[in-house]
Amino acid sequence: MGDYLQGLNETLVMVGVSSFFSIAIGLPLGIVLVLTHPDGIASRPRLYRIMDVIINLFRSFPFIILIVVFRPLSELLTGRSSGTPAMTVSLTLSAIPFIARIMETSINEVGTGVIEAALAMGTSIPRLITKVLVPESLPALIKGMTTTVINIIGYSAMAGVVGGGGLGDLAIRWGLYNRHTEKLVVAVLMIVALVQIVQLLGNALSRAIDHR
Amino acid sequence: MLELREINKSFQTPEGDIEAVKNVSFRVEPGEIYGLIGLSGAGKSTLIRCINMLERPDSGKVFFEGVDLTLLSPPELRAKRQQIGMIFQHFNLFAQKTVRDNISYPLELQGKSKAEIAHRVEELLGFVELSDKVKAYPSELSGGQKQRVAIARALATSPKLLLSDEGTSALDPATSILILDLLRKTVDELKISIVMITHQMEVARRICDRIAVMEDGQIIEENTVRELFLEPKHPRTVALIRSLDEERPLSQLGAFVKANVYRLGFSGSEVARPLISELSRKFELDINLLAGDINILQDEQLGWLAVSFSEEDPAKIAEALAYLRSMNVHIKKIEAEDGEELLASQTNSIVGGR
Ligand SMILES: Nc1ncnc2c1ncn2[C@@H]1O[C@H](COP(=O)(O)OP(=O)(O)OP(=O)(O)O)[C@@H](O)[C@H]1O
Ligand SMILES: [Mg+2]
Repeated sequence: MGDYLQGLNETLVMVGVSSFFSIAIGLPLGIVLVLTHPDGIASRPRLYRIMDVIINLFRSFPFIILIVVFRPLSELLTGRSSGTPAMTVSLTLSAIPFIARIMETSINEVGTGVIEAALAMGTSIPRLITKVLVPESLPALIKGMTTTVINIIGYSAMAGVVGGGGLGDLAIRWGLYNRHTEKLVVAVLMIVALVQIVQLLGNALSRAIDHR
Repeated sequence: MLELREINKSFQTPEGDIEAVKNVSFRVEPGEIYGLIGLSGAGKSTLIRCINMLERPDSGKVFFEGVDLTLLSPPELRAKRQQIGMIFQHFNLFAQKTVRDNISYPLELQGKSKAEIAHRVEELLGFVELSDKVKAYPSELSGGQKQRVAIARALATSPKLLLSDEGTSALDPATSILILDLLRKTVDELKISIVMITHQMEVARRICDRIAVMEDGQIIEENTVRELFLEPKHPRTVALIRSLDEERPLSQLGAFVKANVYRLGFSGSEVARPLISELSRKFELDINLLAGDINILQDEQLGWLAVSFSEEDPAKIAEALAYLRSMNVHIKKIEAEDGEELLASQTNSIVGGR
């Protein structure tokens, strides 16, 4: 029982902290992408192109590789190259590009007409972001973030392979390698339940605030 | 109030440059409603968007209350834009904001107090007759209702200038008349100006003071509504206003087109006069009525008749026409090729229309 609780706790911390930080960094990045897009309001085509390439690059790496790539940085930030804190850094870094892209596509769904109407009324760019872009794209954004958090849960389970702790670690190390089948099953069921809960909550929230 | 000077705007596309607006100049006075008509792709939207810099002109000047908008810094331009309302064809309402919040938005930009905003929103909703929809979201409204919210939002800050790109086209005829009359009243009372694009000649005729006809990025004709409808000069104008004006194009009058066919335009009191029977009696002419209509302008009536004279003697016809002219009737002879021209441009306007 204690194993499960500790595993769940580690997973929740890993997922929660990395979701928080990847959203906190990814969302502004997504807004910068929208603004600097060649057809954007503060168009900086060169800057956009550079960010675009970097984001695509990181999104195309398998997570396992990212963990290795980010290891030195994780070590710098947490003092250790493995364990839950280090894994959280890797998770955060790999989720940022996803979140940025989701922000970008969600805002693009708002449509140029509405943005133009806001600009025609004399809206400044900071106000446009806070009063128009974010509120208008929020339902799509929440849907996208739900998917990303679910991905993070999946990745956090994978992190078990490299000794990151959490439910994935429990399932793989105890369940798989040490043949405690019931630990494997329970840990996997807990991960599935976690994914379901996040999905249900995300969908419900997105639907509740969507007035389109 | 508003003056555009030699505005040019072109777009770079993979298929080459498109000169959407070519060297356009016009003025709009306070208290005036200025209409822009023209076929699809003529450059009307591009031109109206150049006024508030949604589209930056390649060259030319836009003076609004004496200030050249093309030279302003971003904050200065934002301040000016708050005095220019705009209504869009596709409404462009905020989908995630209620009707109230949509209308409040421009007022919040101006930093108005909560109480002031609430009062103004109520007033505007009464104006567009949507008071029961304050808490509704745009998706819960009909097209015409959305348009009315868009109109209320555009008028919220009591702008000095209102730009409308097909801003009344989604309204049903009854609401349209209501809104147009209210706009007219607003313009007259507050001496604001409106520049409006419309495809509906009924609309143009009802509330515009002057109309510019655009084709290929240029203004090909500009006149007061009265003159334009009474005596359109450019063939395109003729086609545009006739295609909606005269149910049956004169050219389709077929065999008659070869005979002595004239279009007689009347205005004001002549509309009510029995001119034809007068003419018939006075000059002993047989007059054949082919088509006709009366159009209501803002404050006067314009009528037209297509007639042919069953008379071989040209002198007698000339005499009759001279008499009509003395009665202030506008006369245009319908020629065979004129008929074809009419027909041709009409086909264009159907193909090129929305
Ligand atoms: N952003 C753009 N990029 C490229 N071409 C454009 C752009 N906007 C307009 N055009 C072109 O400029 C020309 C004029 O377009 P505009 O939208 O001003 O016409 P319009 O008179 O408003 O037509 P409609 O009555 O259909 O609204 C068209 O040929 C159009 O294809
Ligand atoms: Mg247009």
